[in-house]
Amino acid sequence: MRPVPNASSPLRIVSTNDAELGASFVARARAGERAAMQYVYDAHASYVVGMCARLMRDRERGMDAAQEAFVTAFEKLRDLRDDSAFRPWIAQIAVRICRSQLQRDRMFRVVGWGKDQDPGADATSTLADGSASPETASDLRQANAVLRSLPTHARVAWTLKHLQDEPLVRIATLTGRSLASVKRDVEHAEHELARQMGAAP
Amino acid sequence: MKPERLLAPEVDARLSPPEREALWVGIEATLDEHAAKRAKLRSVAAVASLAACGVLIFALGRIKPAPTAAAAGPLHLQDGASLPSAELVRGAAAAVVFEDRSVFRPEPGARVEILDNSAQRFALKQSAGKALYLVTPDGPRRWTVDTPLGTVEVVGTEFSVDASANHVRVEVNHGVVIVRGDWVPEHAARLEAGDHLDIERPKAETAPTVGAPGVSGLRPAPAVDSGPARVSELLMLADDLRRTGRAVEAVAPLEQIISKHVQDPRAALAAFTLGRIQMDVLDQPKEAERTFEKALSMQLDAALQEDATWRRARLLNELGRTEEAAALARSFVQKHPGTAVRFEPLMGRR
Repeated sequence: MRPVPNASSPLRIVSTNDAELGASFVARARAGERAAMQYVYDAHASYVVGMCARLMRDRERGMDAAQEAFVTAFEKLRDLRDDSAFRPWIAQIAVRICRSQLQRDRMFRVVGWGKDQDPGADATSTLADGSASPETASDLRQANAVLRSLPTHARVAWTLKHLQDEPLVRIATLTGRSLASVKRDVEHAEHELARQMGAAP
Repeated sequence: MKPERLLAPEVDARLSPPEREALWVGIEATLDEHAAKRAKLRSVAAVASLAACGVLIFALGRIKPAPTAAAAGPLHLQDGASLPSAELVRGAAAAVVFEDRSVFRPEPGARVEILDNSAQRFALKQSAGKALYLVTPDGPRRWTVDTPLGTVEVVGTEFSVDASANHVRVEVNHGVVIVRGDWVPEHAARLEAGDHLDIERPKAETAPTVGAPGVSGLRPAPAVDSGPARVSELLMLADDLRRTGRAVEAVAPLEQIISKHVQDPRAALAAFTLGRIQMDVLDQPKEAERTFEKALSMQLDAALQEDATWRRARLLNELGRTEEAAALARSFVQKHPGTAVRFEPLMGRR
């Protein structure tokens, strides 16, 4: 083996676990490295797309929202203080984007402007695998209609709790609302769904 | 029925590999578009502010100076400390970040030595275990990783190497690598993002020379239709089909290995590869889960057990069998505590 230049010195380990490794990639992404950005994207894409698809109740709109979330995150990486906290940070961005779009949809419905892209009572609801009995389809239309009728923050909070399985404390962080407000939002949504669909809350 | 149980399966929230790739392309394109607009705005602002002086300067945006070979010298660590003269790591599960922001992450049990470290070349020898390499692109050095069965050459990419005396697996996540070796198909293989290559030391081959490196003893040449040779052929066929974008056609040879050569020690590897195709390419979660279960029951190589278990747990979760997924994840983490971070999202909340 050829001698290596420079005498050996104790190896200094810079990072010791996956979280720190991920943080080093976020730092490299901040410096503009595309390969590092793609690594960060790969690590969080499934989570962000899943959350956006559930919030938007539509897969394509969820992908669009996720794309916007990643672009925003990469362009504003200088605002992220803790590189190991990329996931909760981009989740907040994604929730904000989805909430804005849902709010816009709701406003269009109220004033009758533009095309309502939110699936609702008029949509033909099926399950993701294309199957649905007539009864299930009817129940789905009704459930979606109830979700559409809710205030946006209640709809978002309920979706994050019951479809994304997030704890209330985290929902408060994601939505920028207080824990008490989130609890009220979820309870309100649960009550409305139970009342209009006849299901137990 | 509770509303969440009704609504949850309505939207397919999974991301298939082609969609993942397409989404990234969209993100990159948007970032480029925004960067171009910002550069244009900056140049317009510069022109406006300096027009009175009769000077025109165009700002070109942030320019990253590329490291040059002359300035680089031997590679150091990120904090400037020198690298050791020989063994880079033995058994430590820690990541190393170099001064050029390349990253090397060995798993427990890995053995990696430095063979050469200069302005033009950084050469490592990985004799055992698994390690992940992220090599900064456009750098001045050529990175090579020698393994018992071949050499991996890279310029700027992310790849992992899992090495033992009889089996080496190279997986590429980003970029391109070239793998050379006597037992590499056609002695050299080019791997791109998403590709992997398994190199096996042949168990039966025609009249190997006594004393040739890595070969022990004399074995008779295999019959043309003997089991091991047929398995090798089928594995190579499946690999070629996958690497040329015909993963669907690779299913048949892999299924043939699993059904007709179940006693061959490589049948578990075939099952694992088939499971990956079913999961990542064909989007068949039920089939993929059964295949990974089979691979794990066939005494899959230890290096692949973690990935197979994680994939199976993920699929169980997607199929709504969350309790089974959580139990599987917890059981694996109990035996391999170092994997807790990866399995944590699947272990369910207690």
